[in-house]
Amino acid sequence: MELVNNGGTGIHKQTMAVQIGKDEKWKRFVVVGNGIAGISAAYTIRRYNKEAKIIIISEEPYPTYSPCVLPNYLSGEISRDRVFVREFPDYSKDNIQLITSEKVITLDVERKSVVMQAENIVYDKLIIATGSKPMIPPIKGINRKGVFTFKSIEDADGICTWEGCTAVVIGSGPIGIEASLALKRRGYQVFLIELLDRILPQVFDDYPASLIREGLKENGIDVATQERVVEILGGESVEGVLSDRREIKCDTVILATGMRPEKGFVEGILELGKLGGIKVNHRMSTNIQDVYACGDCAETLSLIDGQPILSLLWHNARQQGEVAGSNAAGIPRTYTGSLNITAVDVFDLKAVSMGSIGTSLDSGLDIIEVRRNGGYRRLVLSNGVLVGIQSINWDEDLGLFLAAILRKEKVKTYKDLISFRRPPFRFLKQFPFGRKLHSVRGRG
Amino acid sequence: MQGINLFLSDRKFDTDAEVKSMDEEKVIVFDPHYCSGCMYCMTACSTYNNGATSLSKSRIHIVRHEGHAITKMTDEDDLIFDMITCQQCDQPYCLYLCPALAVERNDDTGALIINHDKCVGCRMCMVGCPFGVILYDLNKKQIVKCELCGGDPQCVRFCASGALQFLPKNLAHLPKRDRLAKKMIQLRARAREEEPI
Repeated sequence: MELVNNGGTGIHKQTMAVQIGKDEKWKRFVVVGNGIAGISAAYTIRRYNKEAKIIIISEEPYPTYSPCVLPNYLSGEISRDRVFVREFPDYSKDNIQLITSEKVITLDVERKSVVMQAENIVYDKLIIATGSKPMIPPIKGINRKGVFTFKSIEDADGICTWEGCTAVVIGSGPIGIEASLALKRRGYQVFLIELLDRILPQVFDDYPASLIREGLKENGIDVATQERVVEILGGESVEGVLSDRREIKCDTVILATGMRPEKGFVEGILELGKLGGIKVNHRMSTNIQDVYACGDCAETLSLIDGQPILSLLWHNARQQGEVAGSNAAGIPRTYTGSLNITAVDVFDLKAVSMGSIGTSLDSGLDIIEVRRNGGYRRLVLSNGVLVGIQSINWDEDLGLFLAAILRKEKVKTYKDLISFRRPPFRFLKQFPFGRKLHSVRGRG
Repeated sequence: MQGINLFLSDRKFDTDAEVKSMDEEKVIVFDPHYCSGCMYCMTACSTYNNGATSLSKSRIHIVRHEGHAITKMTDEDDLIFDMITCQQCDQPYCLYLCPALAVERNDDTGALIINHDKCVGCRMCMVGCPFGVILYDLNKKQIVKCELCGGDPQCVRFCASGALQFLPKNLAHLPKRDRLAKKMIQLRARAREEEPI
């Protein structure tokens, strides 16, 4: 037991990393954005560099909160305090300076400073984590009172204080679905309108989407697809919605028509990608030295096919923030890619989608469908490799499939994934110690 | 044992603190060779954590596998046991997926623990776990998982056969290596007896 050696692999790299970290001490790190990507970057820097000055600049007057749990707050399941994942004293405890309610106007690359209305802040390393903003569709009457987006806590507060009883939700992405469920729990009558031919068009295929639609219908939400909203009617406040098929009387409208990366002050300074996000490499650094980007505003590569995607999801933002912070602190780390993992709870129905969906693939597509005890699973294969899974009401051992997607496992039948494959008998006979083969397996 | 490297981690042991933690942090090590399948560990786990004995609520699971006709060569080979519990991964997807930052790493034990004040019960951690070891307690309406009993895992304490051990991370591989080495020596000795040079 005395023969303790960390193995040849870790030690050399490890000492190198520590030395790099020590050279980079006494630096000023500026993080723009106080979302999850921003704080995970800031806290990663603090973990590696205890003396550095870290400044977080935020447009909003609040500490960090989780937009993912806003539906739970809106429906009244949790209190407003629990939306916040940090409080103001937490920042000073870790010696991180937080500047709230300040908008960054532009970036001075030559002088290495961030220009704000009141002052300029000089940086040694800058991390941009401005996140995303809701896309406002060009519909007539969009500025009337009672029209809300659903992204920030201000939106949720606005909907909570608004007195309404009938709501129209435009757009049926995960945000639209969660908003309509929360409003339903709040006692509203809810109409959900989608332009495309199915709900959740980016994360589910036709058949699973129809199952979710039935679940929504059973609980009293009116779902309509292939319907275009033309105008929001009313005087000062909303009185109805006019679509190409009908007129709905309502007093609340929620816009959930998608998100776009918020790149206001960096446009024209940093290189942007094809999809409109800030272009970053595998170290999360932009085309300008010492400037990193992470979170919803960055355009990263997909873990599955290596194509650029905008992944506007919490867990990807958190990982990207850690990678960006680690690289800014001088410890090289690689971001492996973004992956879609979405879960929607429609009362009793639990729907989960991981990886790609069938309709997004062109060639070599193969689908395996499995049904059991009222549950449904759909495996999406591309050229024999598992790239995605959608599951309805069957969420046990789903993580297995996540692992299989990450390993790029070749699959022919559903049983390949869940059963242990034994070596053939011929092999066992030839193997000299074959009779005790199982006793050396297991972890350790 | 140190968390299966599923997530293509290129994590290096970056700081002195982390290298130190490798010596101090302990993990549960399972040796199937010694397991008799008594399930004392599951009983102890559910009794300690739930206050009542219920094997389905245990956070450690012993899986019993009846020997397959192919692998069963002698009578002693008929039962195989394996253990599934939280691996306390280095790159945990449960921690990344949690929208409320309720999954936290305990600095003392290195265990991933659930902060029930923050947890909103969305079950995203269950979706992401590759081992399926995160449970949802329907009575308490909250997520539960192995938290190493605050540094003194009861399953290891009550393991009668010595199959479960609680070892520092960098010693975790040694029991298996020892046993394999002994076995190789035995086999060589037997081969020498059968075919004298």
